[in-house]
Amino acid sequence: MTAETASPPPFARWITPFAILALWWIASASGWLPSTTLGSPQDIARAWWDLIESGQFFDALLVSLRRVGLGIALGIGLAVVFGTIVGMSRWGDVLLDPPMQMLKAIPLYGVVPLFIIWFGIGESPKVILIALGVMVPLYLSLSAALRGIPRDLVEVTATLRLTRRERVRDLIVPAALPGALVGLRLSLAVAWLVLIVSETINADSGIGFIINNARNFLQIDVVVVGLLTYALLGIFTDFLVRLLERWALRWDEGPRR
Amino acid sequence: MTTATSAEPQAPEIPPVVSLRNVTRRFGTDIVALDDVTLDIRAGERVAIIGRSGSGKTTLLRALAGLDTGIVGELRTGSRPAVVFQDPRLFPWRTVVQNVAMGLHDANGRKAAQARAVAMLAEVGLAGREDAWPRQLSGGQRQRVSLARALLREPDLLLLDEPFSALDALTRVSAHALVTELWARYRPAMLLVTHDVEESLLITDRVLVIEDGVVIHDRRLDPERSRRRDDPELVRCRTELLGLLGV
Repeated sequence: MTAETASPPPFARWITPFAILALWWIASASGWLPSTTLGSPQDIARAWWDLIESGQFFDALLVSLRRVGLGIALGIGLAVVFGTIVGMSRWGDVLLDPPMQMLKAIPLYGVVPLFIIWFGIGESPKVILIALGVMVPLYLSLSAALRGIPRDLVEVTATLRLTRRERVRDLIVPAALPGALVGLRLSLAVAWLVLIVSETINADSGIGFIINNARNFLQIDVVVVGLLTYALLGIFTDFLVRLLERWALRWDEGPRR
Repeated sequence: MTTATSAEPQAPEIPPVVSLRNVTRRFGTDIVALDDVTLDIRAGERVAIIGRSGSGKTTLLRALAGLDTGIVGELRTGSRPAVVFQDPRLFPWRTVVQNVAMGLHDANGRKAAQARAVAMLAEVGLAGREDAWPRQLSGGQRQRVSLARALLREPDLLLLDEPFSALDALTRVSAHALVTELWARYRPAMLLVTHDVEESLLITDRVLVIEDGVVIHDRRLDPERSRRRDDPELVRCRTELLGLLGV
């Protein structure tokens, strides 16, 4: 392996985040960054700990996780159903793809007022909004991945006389999975964004409610805690999909001949 | 698929594996890929089809593989045809042994099917590479996996669609030897599509020349003949066939 292709050690990814944290701490300690703009790392940590101790933090986290979890599950379900129909059948493509493309073109946050009128201000508008946001990228990548299944291999499944079940297991799923996972990563990123928007607009519980509430009382530290929580959750789900991606593409690793 | 009576006077009691009567295949209105082809292939017979690009040889093979539904005429193909394509067409996300055993239903279960696949891989010289991914193999090794996958199904008709054309010259020589050896062991009828005249003379016993969808030449060779590349009879045949191809 030459120096150019040698990959940096895994811990190298942590260098920059810690450097930023160190700069932040120095800027706060030296007084260059006033606490009325942004609290020091210690202030944020204390605010976080206070929220955890009072039980508010995990209550809110659970509420937010439930919203996003339901929305993701519903969105993935819809995307798999529509993506499979459109990707596998020409009639499905002709009949269902145009409305899906229209849905893609509608700015998601623009439908918030409509959803409030339709579904009120309870949990359902938030979950449905997240589901829609999740559905679109996954639908697009899944239907494209299914359309792109190599015809050569489809012919092989015919000459080997594979059963329908074997065809799904040995060709369709593994061929479409890498492409679909790219869409899933995007979908999950969208899920958190939509959650933040829907919780900021109207909510009486959840991480977004904590942020809004803190804003009203000018508790900058708590606002930052809420934002960091969103960030960590986003990084965590992205990490999960990346693990899944590596597993789905394990046959493409290592030296090629 | 329809049943046709044998037209081979030599062996009327054994029906041919492949039987075509007035088979025509059109693409669109003005392309005739197969034009009224009538042909029998007997059990265990090794046949080569040579012809220029676009002459219809691959169309014929695809029809016999059951991959073409636009055929007009009577066509009966093997009950268990197996295909080795020009490129190996392995499933990259399945290991070598999984590729070979794919879709294989053994009465004694999955383990037994797996064991047969391992044994077949050893026969094509790939013992120990069972758990490799296809991309970790060389082109010649991948084509051998493809051959193992085809032969494991104990085909009565082995269809080879220019399987050696992507191999380098040395690998091709050993692949020819391997196909000859495996054919002698399992004795399927074999149809080799190629544009290499010498290859057809080395590993088959009957050469068809196809041009514009018509079989213009059908020649049986002595199975006991010499297969040295410089054998005078082989050289004479090669010259004659090349002449038919207009080279």
